[in-house]
Amino acid sequence: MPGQNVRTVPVEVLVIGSGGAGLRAAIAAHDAGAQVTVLGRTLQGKAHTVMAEGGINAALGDLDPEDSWIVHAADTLKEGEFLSHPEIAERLARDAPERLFELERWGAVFDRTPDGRIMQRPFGAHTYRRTCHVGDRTGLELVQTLLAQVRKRGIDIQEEIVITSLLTSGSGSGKRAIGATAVDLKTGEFYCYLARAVVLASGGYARVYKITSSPGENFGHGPAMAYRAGAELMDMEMVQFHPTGMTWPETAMGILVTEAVRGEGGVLKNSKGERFMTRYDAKRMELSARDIVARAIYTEVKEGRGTPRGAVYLDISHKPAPFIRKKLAKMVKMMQDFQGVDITKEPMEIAPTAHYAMGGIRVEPDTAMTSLSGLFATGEVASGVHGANRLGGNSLTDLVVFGNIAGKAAAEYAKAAPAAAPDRAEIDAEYSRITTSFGRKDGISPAVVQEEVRELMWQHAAIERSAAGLEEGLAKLQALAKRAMAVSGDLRFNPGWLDYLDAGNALVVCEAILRSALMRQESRGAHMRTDFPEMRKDWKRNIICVNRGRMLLKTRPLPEIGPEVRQWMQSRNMSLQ
Amino acid sequence: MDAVQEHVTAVVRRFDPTREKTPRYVEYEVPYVKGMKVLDAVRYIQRNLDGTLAYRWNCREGICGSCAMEVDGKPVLTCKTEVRGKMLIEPMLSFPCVKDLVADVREVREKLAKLSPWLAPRPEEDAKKEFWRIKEHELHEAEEARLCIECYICYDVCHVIRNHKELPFPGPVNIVHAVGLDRHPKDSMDRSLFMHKDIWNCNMNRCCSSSCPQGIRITENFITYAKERIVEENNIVNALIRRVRNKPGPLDSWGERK
Repeated sequence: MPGQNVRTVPVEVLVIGSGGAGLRAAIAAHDAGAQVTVLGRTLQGKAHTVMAEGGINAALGDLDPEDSWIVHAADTLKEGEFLSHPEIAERLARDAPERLFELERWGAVFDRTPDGRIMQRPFGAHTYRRTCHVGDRTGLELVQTLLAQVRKRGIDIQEEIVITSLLTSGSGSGKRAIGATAVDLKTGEFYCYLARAVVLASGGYARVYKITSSPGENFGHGPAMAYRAGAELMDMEMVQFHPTGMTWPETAMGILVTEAVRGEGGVLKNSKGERFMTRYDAKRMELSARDIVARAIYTEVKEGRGTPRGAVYLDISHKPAPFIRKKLAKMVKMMQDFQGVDITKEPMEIAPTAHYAMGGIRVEPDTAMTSLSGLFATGEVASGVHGANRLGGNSLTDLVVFGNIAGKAAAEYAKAAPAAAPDRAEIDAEYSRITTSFGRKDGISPAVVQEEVRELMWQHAAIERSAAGLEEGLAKLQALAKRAMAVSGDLRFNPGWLDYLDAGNALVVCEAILRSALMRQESRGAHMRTDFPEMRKDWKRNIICVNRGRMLLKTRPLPEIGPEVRQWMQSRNMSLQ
Repeated sequence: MDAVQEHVTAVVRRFDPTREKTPRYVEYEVPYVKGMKVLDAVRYIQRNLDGTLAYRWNCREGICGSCAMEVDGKPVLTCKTEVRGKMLIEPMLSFPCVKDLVADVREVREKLAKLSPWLAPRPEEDAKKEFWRIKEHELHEAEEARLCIECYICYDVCHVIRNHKELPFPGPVNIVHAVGLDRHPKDSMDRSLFMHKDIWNCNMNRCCSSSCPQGIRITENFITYAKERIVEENNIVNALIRRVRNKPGPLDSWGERK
């Protein structure tokens, strides 16, 4: 049955993912002269990016003229506990203003200062106010703007196409990515996209946790597919827990309460009414780094100062109601919809939620190319930008800066790359793999596997980790991986089959998270080991996972921070560790 | 919703047009949890009772616009709609059905493509090397359009689309996009005028405005604006003034786009 049914589509640059990073990469590759096809798993404009609320960072200095790319890069490195690749962090900060300029020319409607410049709000752990925003729906604005540019250029954009694997040719150092296999959900047809270069922009993996702000599709299919194809994963243990997620009702658990609430003056209080951040970071208070605030809330609840729902209070009601309605429109509406709480009058109950994957596929700073030749990665699927903890507002900046870099580099690569012939056997094997669970009598439901994975990750690899807990988690995961899954129906718009695909990918990603977390015997940023509570100098290294038949781990040293940023940090007596 | 009630009943329209001639309506019992939304019920059915039930969702917080369906005959975002004791769940029925609760929405974007749905800055503005200076109040109209999450509820509920497939009509969502761009302070185009024939099929019933989950005043602020723009442009006095001033308008009177 496989083989004959494959539809082969040749393209020059294949972009996988239609969120902010994928769209920006597609625009860059197109503008560099390449023929581009974008494949999205969802409908146009529905990707995770639209959920980004608070804003996009760029050192424009509209409110604080002292700001510069140097300070932005220093803040990014410091917040990332110096695990970001310095060149990547510097590039992020350097390119950001230009990308913002472009977005404005393309029609993005930012909030303004009274004299008509782009408004910038303060965000946690930023030295200056630099988070440009559109109320609390900045991500939606970004996607609309980029999508309009994709449409204007007539770039081929396909919807509801699910990628199942990356195709490669050659071996050893000559191995390169030559495309992907995919299923068109609308028809159930199996496709082989043959490309000269592939840009993976398929998003993060925070949905492997039970309580998460991530959308349904973020089970980490990107890192899993790249790993299977031979690309290196990096810092997979680094998952950001956003301090403020919704705690009730059950169906809304984990949904994000934007950092902008604190940025606009919201305060955190425990059940005794204390502003407990005085005990954790008296200087920056609610606007401290996300990992510090998340752990502070976690500790308050653990030590019995939480609400009966296991939460603390976040209160903005001291601000004027019209101000709240303008700046936090989406929040006002969402809390009203889900809980019937009017945040202009009452506090919210919040607790940490798995929010963002800092880890992902390792990429080169200047091209965003992965360790697999011809495969580029950008956005949340890649790593190296945010290190051990991401600065609020840096994820959207990441998308446009590195989307642009990846798209350009992929177009250049594609021009020099020869056409490759796919290996029929590999494609047939992939078709068998994705259809093997159909009609099985003895398997369990993939939905059950997903829920068990998410539960074990929340228990063993969330805010606090220990060797014993991680090992227990790994044992549970391995037991789960041995269980066969059964799916009914066929490939045509079948969510049960998608669950199966996602569960398989989640198993790979979670193994990488657990193994990396076990290996990192220290506490750094979002990674907190109760058995190794201190940060250790000798662990200022990235952890790499690579597929050698089984998962192998190694570490990789980081290069020095560039002279401008180093000098600035030294002038402020900041530690470089 | 009564908290002691243990189950809700969902009657779901099941249909695979590639295999079946007519849809089936299947009843499912779903355990009730406090605060449960229609999307949760649909997900419960798919994950526990029938894995093949096709539906769209992603963000579950009302910002991605994927999960619009008709509940008891009214299109809503199911992630924000409370379950009822017994409810009928169908896809948006103004569209062809892909499978079960999934509507084929491609026609909306095919129509949008004809409206140049991107910002076209005036050349002198585009040439500026600096960020634009724009006052907040200049952006109000453009900003309202940007609230759109493209859930297509307005398109589904629009009676021109629903009952008069034969009439050309861009659909409310596309008018919002076009007019929103027209009203951007730096834009140079008049997309409203591209719709100068089709838009009159709308007789302002305000179904779209009252259904928009984002509260966009589609009829009042967008369709009305476009109609007024067209009238103004085609007013004979205005046309004469333009001719006297030798300023060519984007339309010849009642004719095609220049």
